[in-house]
Amino acid sequence: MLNAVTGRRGRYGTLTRFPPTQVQALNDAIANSRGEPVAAPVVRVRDLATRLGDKRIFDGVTFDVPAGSVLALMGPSGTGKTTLLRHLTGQQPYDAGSVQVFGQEVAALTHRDLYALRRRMGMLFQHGALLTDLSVFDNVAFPLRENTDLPERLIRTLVLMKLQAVGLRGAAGLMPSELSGGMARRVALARAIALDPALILYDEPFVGLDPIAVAAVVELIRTLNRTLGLTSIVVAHEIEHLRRVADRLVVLSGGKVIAQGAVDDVLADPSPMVRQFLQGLSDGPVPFHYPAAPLAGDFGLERGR
Amino acid sequence: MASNRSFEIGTGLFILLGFAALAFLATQTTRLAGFRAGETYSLKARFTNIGQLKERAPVKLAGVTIGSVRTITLDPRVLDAVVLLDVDRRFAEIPEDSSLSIYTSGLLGDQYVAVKPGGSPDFLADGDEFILTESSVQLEELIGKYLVGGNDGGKAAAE
Amino acid sequence: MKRVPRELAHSLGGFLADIGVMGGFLLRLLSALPSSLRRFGLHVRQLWFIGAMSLTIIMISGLFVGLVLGLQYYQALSQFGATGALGTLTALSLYRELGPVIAALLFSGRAGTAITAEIGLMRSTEQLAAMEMMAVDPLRYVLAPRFLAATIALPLLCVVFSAMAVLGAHASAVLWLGLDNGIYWSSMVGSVDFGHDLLGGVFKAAVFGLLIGLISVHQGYTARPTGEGVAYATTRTVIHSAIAILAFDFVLTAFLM
Repeated sequence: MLNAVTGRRGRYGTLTRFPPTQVQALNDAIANSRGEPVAAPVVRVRDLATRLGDKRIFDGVTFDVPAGSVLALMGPSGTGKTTLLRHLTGQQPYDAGSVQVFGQEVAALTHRDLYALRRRMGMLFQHGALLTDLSVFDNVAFPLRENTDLPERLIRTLVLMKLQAVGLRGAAGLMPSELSGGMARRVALARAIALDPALILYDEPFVGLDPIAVAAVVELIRTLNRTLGLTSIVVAHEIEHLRRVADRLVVLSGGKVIAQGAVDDVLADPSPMVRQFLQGLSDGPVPFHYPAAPLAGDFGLERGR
Repeated sequence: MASNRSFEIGTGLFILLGFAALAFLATQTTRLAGFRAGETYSLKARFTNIGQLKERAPVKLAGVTIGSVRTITLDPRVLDAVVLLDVDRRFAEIPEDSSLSIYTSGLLGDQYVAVKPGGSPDFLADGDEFILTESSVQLEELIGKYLVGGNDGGKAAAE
Repeated sequence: MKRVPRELAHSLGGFLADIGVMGGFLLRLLSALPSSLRRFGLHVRQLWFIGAMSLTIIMISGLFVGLVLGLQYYQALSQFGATGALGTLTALSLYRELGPVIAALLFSGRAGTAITAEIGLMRSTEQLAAMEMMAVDPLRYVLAPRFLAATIALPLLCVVFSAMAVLGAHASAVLWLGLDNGIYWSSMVGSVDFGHDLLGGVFKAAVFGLLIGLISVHQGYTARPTGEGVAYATTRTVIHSAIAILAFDFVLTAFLM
């Protein structure tokens, strides 16, 4: 393996560098030693590399999402967290490496197989992405009507159940434009779980919400994970919220995984990159200044120009 | 679902309006209006010059359209233009000594075939030929004759 | 000055590439159509929004175009004492050229931009991505119905436009300027052919409708997902539609009529 990533071992804080394949083996071993079940990972990313034009988005990203766990994906803006989600859903192709979801290589799927795969995945978009010309009820019913031949009576029952789960059964008749940001996101969540997916992706679920709405979304992510046994990937910046929902944490920066492991272990990681990001320092390994020519040049202070 | 229903009705009305407009234009402003192609029989005529006459041009009797020109061909032997006419069955009683002329509607309009009815008690039947035909009046010829025969106005007039 | 030929060659290459892209996109749309037809309600809805909602502007514009044609032709023809040909001239110019072309230009402004803006907005609010995630192909659910509705709606609108214009020309030439009512109608009847002139124009309109549907849907689908991107795409829809309509009008007139 070309790109070694930081792996964490044990609870003693000794930091060592391991090749990525060994990280998974180690994590499994840790889980084993704690008596946790070792399940085949639902998502398996290996040496992922992506370029967008001249920009290198990913360069050897490797991580796993074990079945039934909540993985938080963090990183500074512009590190391509959303792009990573789009790789998982097959909405954007990657250049090298491997992305497997439910054991299937996403890039190798035909159009039909990809759509079959997506039926097993749910996604909560950043602003909900409700279909604006359909009511709340019809939005939640949409994936059911389009993908199943269920009778309308059964669809009604299912939709109301999903809306009840997010606490918005009473809002079934409203249009998306009549909802607050938090409500829209909860409706979108009800829609994302309409087809009972095994994997659900959350793209920035906390952005722009007031504290009460955030608490509601946090509660929902946890409940869904515990009660339905969903595997979840949460992309977000908010460490304080993620602590409450995530089992594992992957921190991306500069196209690489700079830390991954159990939440508490990563939070205790002493490496300066991780510290800067988690503690929110404006300057550090990620510089405050965008690369520029020396200041003196721009201000005309150089001698004898 | 009630709103879906009203979309369906509205869209239906829209399509209906489109076809109504088409029917209006077709019946009021196109050749369909004056002459509907029903049962026809064909008649033949020879002209020494057909001028600007085209296929599908109307055939008129006393100004009423009774048929249309089907084909125009050249008889290679006699060097005459042979014109086949489709005439509606409703106008089956055209005297056999009727004559044909090619006229222009208005000064610059399209040309048509005019039937001048004769007095014979016998009528033309399917496939018959008109004996008496008058060729198209050539505007250029008229002008030419007028200019050339300018000194001798009487001669031009006589022609 | 030397840059000009190179830029010209460059833009010509871009133009050819655009045609290739549009051709491929048209094939994708057509292949998505059969399965999209099963959701018939969507098509009815789009025909309503795209077609019926454009009726007002089409009818009003048709009426005024007709009124102006009546005045202009009367004035021009009366110089030659040929006002009897006014009906012919009005009907032929409307059915063969003005009806399809003006209706198409208006339609691209009214419906084409609406299609682009709507799809572009769905792109920027991630609604299209959300559909893909719900295993619903936006090409079938969103794009194909709008494309088909534009192709069906424009011929119908074009006929309505021409009918209004014929009535408008009648109003100005006959009712106002005093042309004989019988001459107006009979001159049309005498020289307008149903199949060649009227249906030929309707066929043109169907081609224009297909072009506008294709361009507007494509611009919306490929718009950059920002407010600026959607605004830019909407402008491009109008420009590309206008150029496509006039260029294809020339081609169709030259080779079919």
